[in-house]
Formats: sequence, C-alpha cells, structure tokens
Amino acid sequence: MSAVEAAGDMPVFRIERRFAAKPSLMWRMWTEPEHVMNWFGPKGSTNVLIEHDFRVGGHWQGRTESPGMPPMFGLFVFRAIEPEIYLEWLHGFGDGAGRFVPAPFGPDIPAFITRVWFLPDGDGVTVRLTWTPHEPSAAEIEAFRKMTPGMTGGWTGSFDALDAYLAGL
Amino acid sequence: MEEEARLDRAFAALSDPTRRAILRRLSAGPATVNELRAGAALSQPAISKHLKILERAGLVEQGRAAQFRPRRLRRDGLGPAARWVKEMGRLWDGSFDRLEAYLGVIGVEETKGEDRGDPPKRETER
Repeated sequence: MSAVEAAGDMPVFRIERRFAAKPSLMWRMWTEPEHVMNWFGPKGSTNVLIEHDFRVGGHWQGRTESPGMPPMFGLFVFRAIEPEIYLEWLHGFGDGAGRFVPAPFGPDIPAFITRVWFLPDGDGVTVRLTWTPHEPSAAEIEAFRKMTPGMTGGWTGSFDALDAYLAGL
Repeated sequence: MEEEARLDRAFAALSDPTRRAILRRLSAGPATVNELRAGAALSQPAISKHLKILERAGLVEQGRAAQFRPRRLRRDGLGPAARWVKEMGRLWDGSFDRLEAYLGVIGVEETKGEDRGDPPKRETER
C-alpha cells in the first residue's frame, strides 16, 4: 500500500507492508550490503555497491542499473540508526564520486529524507517507509504543493489517477 | 489560503472514480462531452458536472474546436511532482516486492538454522 499525504505544507510519500520475518532479520536485510544489494531498486534492476559506511553521518553510494535506462547513482547519508527499530537517511542522487547532483527525473526535485520504521507485527514485521523533501527551495515547494491534498487529511488512490494522467503527458 | 483551496479542489477532483475514468479517457486524447458520455454511460448533465469540477481543479481544459469544445488534459496540471511520485512508487513498490521474494530464500535458511539450534550465521545479529 502506498499513498501521498500532507505534513505541514509538504507532501509525504508513504508505503507500508507486512513481511513474514522477524524485526531482527528485517533489519539485516536493510543494513547489510550483501542483502540490500539483492532487493533494493525497481523491478529488473541490479545494484553495484560503491561505498557503505554504516554510521550516522556515513555515506552509502551505489549504482542502480535498469534495462534500457541510463545508470543512476544513489548517494545516501545516514542520519539516524536505531537497530531493529528505525532508520533514517538523506536520499539523494550522486555522480558516483561522492557529490550530490540533481535528480535525473526532473528539475525542482530536491533530495529527500527517507524514514523507515520496523514495527513488530505478530510473528512478522511491518515496514513503514516515508519520503519527504529535504530543505526544498521555493520552486521545489511550489512543485510539490501541486501534489498535496491540503492540510485536511490523507488521500489514497494516487497512482491510479497519476498513471492515467502521466500517460497523457 | 487561496492556493490551499485550489489544492483541495485538485485532490477532491481526483478522489472520484468517475472523474479518474474521465482523466484516463482524456489521457488518450481530447474528447467532446458526447464522446465522454458514450464511454461512461452517464447523462450529459452528470458528465458536465464532473468536467466542471476537473476544470476548476486545473486538471482539464476546453479546446476551441468550434461548438464541440473538446476537453483535454492540462499538461501543467501536476508536472514534476507527479513524476516524482511515480518514480518513488516504482522504486519502493518494486523494492518491497523484491525484498519479499528475497526473504523467501533467506528466510528458509534462517529457519533451518534456528530449528537445528545452530548459532547465528553472522556476527552482526543483534
């Protein structure tokens, strides 16, 4: 399940799913490079790890390759690490050499704060992930405001309508 | 405040399945009210009401082809933020699917280990 919601005047992208795994195992899936590399990225993509400095302030750099698309270099900076409970990083796009570059899918797109909660759920774990723009400029705020449902509450069903909408662009 | 009201209108407009169907139809190209009616099995006043809501929300506009005035999507309606949402959905929906599949492989190994009372395979187990 995923949705776009509002927090203050900023949109929040949220996705949540329950997995049949203990929180301890799920934590390792997210924090040990040999595991992360096996699932992170859109369907059909592969990852090459460049740097994995797993501590607050440390960098993660990787190259994600998808068929028919130019490779994308991810550059993350870990901001909070609470084993088996919570993970937070600044999620940006890099040049493969440790420097941030604008997102490849459009202007007015800033870096994002990714927050991940690992919530015990019976004999499994529910992973809740949110993305919010990081220190957006005025132009970026304006771009994102077009997505927010105002201050009054959440809105689901976004992808249905967006897919239809984007198909016409 | 006015901006906020406009945003409320946009998302309220998108919250209705009939209006999403209209957007989907218009994403294939402009259409007149009559053409939209044929596809949706709705009365003309009902279609017009939905179109008015979509137009006020800034998602649809009227063309100028004579008296038929076909409706079309506004290209600037959602823009880069919509691409962002689409990319995020692609990344994380895809990643979660892959994670689920990967756990199916890893999980079996972990469970076997625990059943036999073996020590954890990795020192990083917390």
